[in-house]
Amino acid sequence: MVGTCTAHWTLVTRGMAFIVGFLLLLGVGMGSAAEAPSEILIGATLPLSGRFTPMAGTFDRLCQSWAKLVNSRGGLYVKAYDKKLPVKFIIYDDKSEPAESAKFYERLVTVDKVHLLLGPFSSHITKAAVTVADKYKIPMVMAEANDATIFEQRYKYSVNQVDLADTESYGYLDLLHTEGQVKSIGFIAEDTLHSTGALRGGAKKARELGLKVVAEEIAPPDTKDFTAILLKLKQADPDVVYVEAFPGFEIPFMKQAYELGLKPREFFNGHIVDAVLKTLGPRAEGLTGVVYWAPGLPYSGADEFAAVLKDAGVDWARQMESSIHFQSFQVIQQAIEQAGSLDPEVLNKALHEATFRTLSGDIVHSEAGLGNTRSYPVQVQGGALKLIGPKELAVAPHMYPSVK
Amino acid sequence: MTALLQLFISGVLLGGIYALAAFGLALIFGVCNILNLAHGEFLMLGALVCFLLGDSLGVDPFAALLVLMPLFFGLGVLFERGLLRSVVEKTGHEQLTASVLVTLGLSLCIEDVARVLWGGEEKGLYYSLPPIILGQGSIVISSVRLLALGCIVGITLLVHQCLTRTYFGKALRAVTQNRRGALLVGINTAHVSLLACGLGTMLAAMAGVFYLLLYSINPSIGLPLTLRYLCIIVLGGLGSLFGSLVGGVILGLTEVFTGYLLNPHWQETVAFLMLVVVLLVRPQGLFGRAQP
Repeated sequence: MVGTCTAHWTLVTRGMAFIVGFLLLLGVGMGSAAEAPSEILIGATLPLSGRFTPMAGTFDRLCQSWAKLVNSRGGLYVKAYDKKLPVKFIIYDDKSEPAESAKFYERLVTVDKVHLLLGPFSSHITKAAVTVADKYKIPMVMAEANDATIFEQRYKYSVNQVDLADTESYGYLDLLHTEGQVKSIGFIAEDTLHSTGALRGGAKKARELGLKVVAEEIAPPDTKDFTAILLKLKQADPDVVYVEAFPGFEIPFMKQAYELGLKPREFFNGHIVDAVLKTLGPRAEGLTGVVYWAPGLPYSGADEFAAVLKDAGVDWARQMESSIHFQSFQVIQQAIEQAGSLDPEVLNKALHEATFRTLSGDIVHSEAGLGNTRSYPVQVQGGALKLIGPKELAVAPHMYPSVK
Repeated sequence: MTALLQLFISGVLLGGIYALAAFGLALIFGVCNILNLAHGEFLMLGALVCFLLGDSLGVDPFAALLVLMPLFFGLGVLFERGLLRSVVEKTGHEQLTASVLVTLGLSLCIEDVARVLWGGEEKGLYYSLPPIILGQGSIVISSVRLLALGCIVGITLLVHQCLTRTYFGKALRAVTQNRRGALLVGINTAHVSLLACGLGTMLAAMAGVFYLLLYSINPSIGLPLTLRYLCIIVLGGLGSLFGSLVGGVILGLTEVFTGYLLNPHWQETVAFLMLVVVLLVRPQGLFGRAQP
């Protein structure tokens, strides 16, 4: 009897344990299903109107094309849910205004409830927008923002891809130093965060390398007449004239430099985009500049980048910052896959600790979120941009002097 | 000394470019009493059409003027007939409000349409002429600017002849001086307004061609340019065509000398300070008529 009773209770206990265990498993499973979002939401603002539109007005298409590519493969794998989730972008027009951008990032976090933020275009706008990431503790993967003043704030929830604007000229200046032909350089920049940062860093580096810096001119971005600056540069007679500005400034400067007979041994343009080359015509031959990616670099994702550009109808030669935007996509993808979670803290940890393989090389973020992608010097040779440094990656030698 | 001479030459050439567009703005204001805030957009459109002709068909910018002149004259006529006519007929405060709203609205529309249809990126045209070098290289004169200035002087003389020798010119000046008086002596003021708008818009488009040759364009250049041209015609005297020419040259010289002697950042500040001083001394501008 006791044996029967014991056997009975054993059966009941086992049965109950089985049911409890089953329910627990079911509960966990149901809990996971309930928690798994239907898609990964990434929020961003872009200059779909306003003064930055020429540089990044088509990047919304770039975002959608990358999402399309990722989703065609089932989405991004998130280990916490053990499944792939599709990616969806929510993008607002910041009108190229910092305040507008910050307002929309607030909305993306509080109303749209995005999982991750993709930064806006330029240091100028990012400086305002990035504060939202820290305020709500939602990670932001910045794109084309590399002014030192952003990283001096030591924000905890944002990372970028490219090194400081101050280092933008380093690759080119190192090349000049190695060759040893250039003795003097004159800098001119438009008065924007990025360009003045590049001028500041470039002039400092040039002095360290033993070059004589004969001019450091800064002019408002809407300057159209450069007679005064050109006259000063003519008097200083530098070997290299280094122009760091956007095309709306570079084009009239270069046109007037030729018109007024400024003849250095070489011209350098910070944004050596298609519009600049087209406007300068045959005179663009020999012009030097820097890029953050160029065809032929032996790193990860160039084919995908080409596919996304094609699908989006974006021309890299016209909008070269598209490569930095794509790097941000690569960082987002790898961060989510490595974190295995959409939890902001886990994602942020991955963004700050992992190494990311991108089309411009591996990226490691500093504690302040600063990336380490450096620029590559290029030169117009035979009408096309050729990588002229560093030595191990160069596809053509640096032609100097290059002004005929 | 040679630096100052170089600056003077560059300032005059720059002022000449300013003057051409300001001339059209002054003409429309003088005849219709309307501040056309879309004037800079017509300049941008003129430059854009020139760019498209040059870029896709290889048309020389100066040859493109032959297409642009009748095209934008017609556009100006349409602009007056479609939008400005009802504003011109209003008076006082109502007219000012309506003209600002209508022309500003048009300005924004043109900017958006241009951006959607032709993209927002910077556009420039390659056009090169060897510079003129004087004094063993110490003075360099831009041939493109000199050519532009030559064209502008030619156009100015032509318009001057038209204003002084033809019935239309005399009628236009009469309307500029006193619209009601002109109407009383039998001048068809509506017809004059129509032609003045056509002429003013045509001059803006022509200035756009020279602008494209010297600088680069994008859809948002219009409104800031309109404000600059507005300063020129206020400086020269509202309604005075000769004043707009002198105002343009003064502004060009001021900007160039300030950029060299002080800093490029001070160019606009000094230009506006000068405008304030002139208006304090002569509220009607340099060549404007004082209100009785």
